[in-house]
Amino acid sequence: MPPGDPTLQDATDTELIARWQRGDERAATSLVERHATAVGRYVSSLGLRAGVEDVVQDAFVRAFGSLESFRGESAFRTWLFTIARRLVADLRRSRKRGREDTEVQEGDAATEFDALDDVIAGESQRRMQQALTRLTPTQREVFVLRVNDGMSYKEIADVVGTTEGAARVHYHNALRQMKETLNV
Amino acid sequence: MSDCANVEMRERLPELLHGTLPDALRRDTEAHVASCADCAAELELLREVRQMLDARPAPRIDTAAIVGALPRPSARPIASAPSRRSMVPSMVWRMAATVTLLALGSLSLPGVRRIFGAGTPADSLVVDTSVTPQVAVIPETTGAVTPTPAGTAVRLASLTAGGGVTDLADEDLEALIGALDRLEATPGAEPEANPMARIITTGTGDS
Ligand SMILES: [Zn+2]
Repeated sequence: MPPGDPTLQDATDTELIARWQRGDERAATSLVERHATAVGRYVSSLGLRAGVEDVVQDAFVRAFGSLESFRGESAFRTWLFTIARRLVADLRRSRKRGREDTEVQEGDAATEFDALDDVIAGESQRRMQQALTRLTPTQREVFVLRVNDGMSYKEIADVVGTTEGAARVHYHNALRQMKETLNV
Repeated sequence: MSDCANVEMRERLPELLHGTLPDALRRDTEAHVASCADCAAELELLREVRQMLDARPAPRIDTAAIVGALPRPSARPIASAPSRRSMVPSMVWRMAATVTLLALGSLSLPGVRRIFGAGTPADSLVVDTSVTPQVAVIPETTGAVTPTPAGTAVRLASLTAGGGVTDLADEDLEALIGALDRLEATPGAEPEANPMARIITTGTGDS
């Protein structure tokens, strides 16, 4: 995409998808640049250390390979997250063949947040990070998707494979736990 | 910090933080937060969490490499593409159930053929189940139709309750027959007593 192309930069994801389907490959560049970092952060937040970039690329390839079935009922980013999450689970299964590992594991999910100690300077943020590590993996994932990625309960439910109601409960339990831990 | 009793307002706080509320709701929520210490404190907590998460180093992503790996735009029509999504999970389930029946010797492949017709091109099912993504049913990277002893009883009971294979649509059946035709023989639990088990308990090529 030429830098500063307002037509592409201002287009919605749905418009970019339509343009790509009509043969405009620059629209794909726009979509990748718009979402790749967020998908990468999300994959990292699941505790994956090696192979993050491969998962992100695979998620995009799979998404673009079947865009004709994307109905736009949820955000394109949500769809990418959903695919990426499944890829992480598949990757873990292949890496831990012979062991039970079909879901995001507690230890894995905590890993990335534990590693934040090195990069977070302020005491307030350090306490915040420690509070996050005290959440269950599901609470933490739901809470982060809601607070950091701004997803609705419906979108979160789609990504993590649960119901909107369950996502809401996880979010509020996480928030309550955070308040207790931080004593605020 | 205690929780504000106005749950509706609390539910809006993440959207307020992200600036995604419609104008009227945003003004309404901002007015509430301005007069509610609990919501103001909760919003501040959410903001700090987000700032902390933003402080994480972003993974290095080569967007050009991703773009280079993408498939080329499809020439297929977009809006008129028929949706088979609702059918696919049902079809996969029915296949698994039918395969289970075959494994148990309750149904023979010739029997299936007599009831539902002859074999058809073999690839349609695999293509549909592997590349049909959506939020609810995203692309699967592995196929899993091999029955396990522990699962057969449950699936058999489900199949019986659900009407069995007799309600398979023609298209489903064609895919089933084709998929069965492609399977290779491996030792089954009762290979001599039930020759069909040798056919359907075969690995599908997935490691
Ligand atoms: Zn309030």
